[in-house]
Amino acid sequence: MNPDADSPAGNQTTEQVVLFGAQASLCGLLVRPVTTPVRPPIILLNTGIIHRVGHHRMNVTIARLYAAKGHPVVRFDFGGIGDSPVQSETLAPLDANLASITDVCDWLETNLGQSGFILMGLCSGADHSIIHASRDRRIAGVVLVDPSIPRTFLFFVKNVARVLSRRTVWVNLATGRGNTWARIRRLMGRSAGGGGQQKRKEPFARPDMENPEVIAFLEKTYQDAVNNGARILAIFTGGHDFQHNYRRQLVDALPRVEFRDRLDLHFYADCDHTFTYERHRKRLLAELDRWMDKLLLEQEKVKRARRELG
Amino acid sequence: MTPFLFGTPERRLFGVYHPAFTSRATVRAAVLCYPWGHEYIYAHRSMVKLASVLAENGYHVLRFDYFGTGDSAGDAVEVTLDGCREDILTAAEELMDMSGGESVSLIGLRLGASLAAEVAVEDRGLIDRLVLWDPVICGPEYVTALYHSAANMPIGKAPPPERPVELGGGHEICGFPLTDSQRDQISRVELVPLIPRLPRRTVTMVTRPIPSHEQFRAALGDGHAADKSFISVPDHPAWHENWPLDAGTMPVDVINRIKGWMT
Repeated sequence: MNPDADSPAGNQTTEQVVLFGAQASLCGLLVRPVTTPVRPPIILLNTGIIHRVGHHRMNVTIARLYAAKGHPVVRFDFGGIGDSPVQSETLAPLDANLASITDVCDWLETNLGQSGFILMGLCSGADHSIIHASRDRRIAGVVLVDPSIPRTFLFFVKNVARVLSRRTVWVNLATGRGNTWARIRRLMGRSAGGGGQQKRKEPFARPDMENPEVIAFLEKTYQDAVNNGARILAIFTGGHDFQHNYRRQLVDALPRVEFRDRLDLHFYADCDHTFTYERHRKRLLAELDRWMDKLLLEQEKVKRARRELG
Repeated sequence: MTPFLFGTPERRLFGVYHPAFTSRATVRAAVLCYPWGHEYIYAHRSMVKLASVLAENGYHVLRFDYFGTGDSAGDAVEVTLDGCREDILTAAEELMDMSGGESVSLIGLRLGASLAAEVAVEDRGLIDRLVLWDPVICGPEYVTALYHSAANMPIGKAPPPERPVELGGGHEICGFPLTDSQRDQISRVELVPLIPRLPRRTVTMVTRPIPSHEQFRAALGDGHAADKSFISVPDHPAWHENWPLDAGTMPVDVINRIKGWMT
């Protein structure tokens, strides 16, 4: 048994188990080109409690694809998820996870001599990515898929329009069934189940995101990430239409952030949250390619300018 | 636990070794055999927990990803059942090397249980105990269930998308390709005819009974003392998730029953 045994993950790449962190217990896999990597390292983060392989094995696909293009790519598990034991009994999970990202960055910097990391995450992974980028100047870019953002006035307008466009809503209205009538009956105190006290069932939406303190936190987080030099690719899906439903919602929700030219925004209305269908994953990968090319071009320009300045 | 890569350069597998917490005069070792596709993703947490519980109770445990799944090399369309059975044997040999044991037990979940049973009847000297956890008894029934799941996902009801013939054809099942060839291989799975050749110490634990389970139970007959070797454990199915209502739910009862039977 050799934890560091290399594995061919393809003709031009190699894959290796790495135990990151002070306790060497954060389980990760590094896939990289056989030759010296020339492109920025990518770090893929967990989505919720799903282990590093990702939904539909998406992280493995992304890791191997980008390693073949010249990037070293790490996918690893936060403490308490997948194959990594809990890392700290004292730190809050968010702080422990941010410390783990730092550990992985440190390892890559020490062992590969590379910096300018790109963090990629879906859902909670996106939230971890942007928060870390706000605190670590080594992050060159973040790919945020369905990050947590507040709902806006336009969100609610579009949401009402969406609801009203459903045939079932009008059928229910005409026949006295459905949520609208239930609400009217509740308001009139005639709910059969004594539901006058019953709150509307919204198991997914996160109204806490609209708290001014949360908005201020997010504005500072995004602003700091931009000020640290990170380029942001934010992709929102229709799979979370209870929380976001249009392309520019991030900008409207955090109006005090000066994104300048650092933000690329996309809204995939027909995609579900985890990109279940192959055609949706292909679309995501094509977007990643375009954004990555842009980022690499920008980095190349900076390098050239530095060389010219001597 | 120790994650590592093993197997051949052409067929590199990812595994996690859980050494036994306590040493015993007789080494006891168990290989965990994962389910397939989306069921693997959901079951991973429960399999980690089961491995930890067994290690705490004196077992050396290896859980691993078949070629083309999880962190192992290969693409999802390259998965074959013959290959998976070969991988189970490779994992068993690796675990015996690491633990010093002379035999291993196999614990399989869903399709992993079927594969474990097929390996057990072919290599009777190698396999000590066999646990079939919510096993796939009848391939066609399982394929039908997969297509039903794919057509009734929480994201919407729609027939599973067809895949291009040049990429193996078949359909997308809950985010994973199921090629025509893979579907045919799974359709040929039949556990009832294997019953006479199963290891003496075999147990079936079922959390969510389906018609073929009852046929399997009936076929076990007196020879296997059906009441003791087929156990119904009402619990959460580890391989299924009804997000967000039961995301991350651990089937503690069935894990404890497996531990109890193994120890």
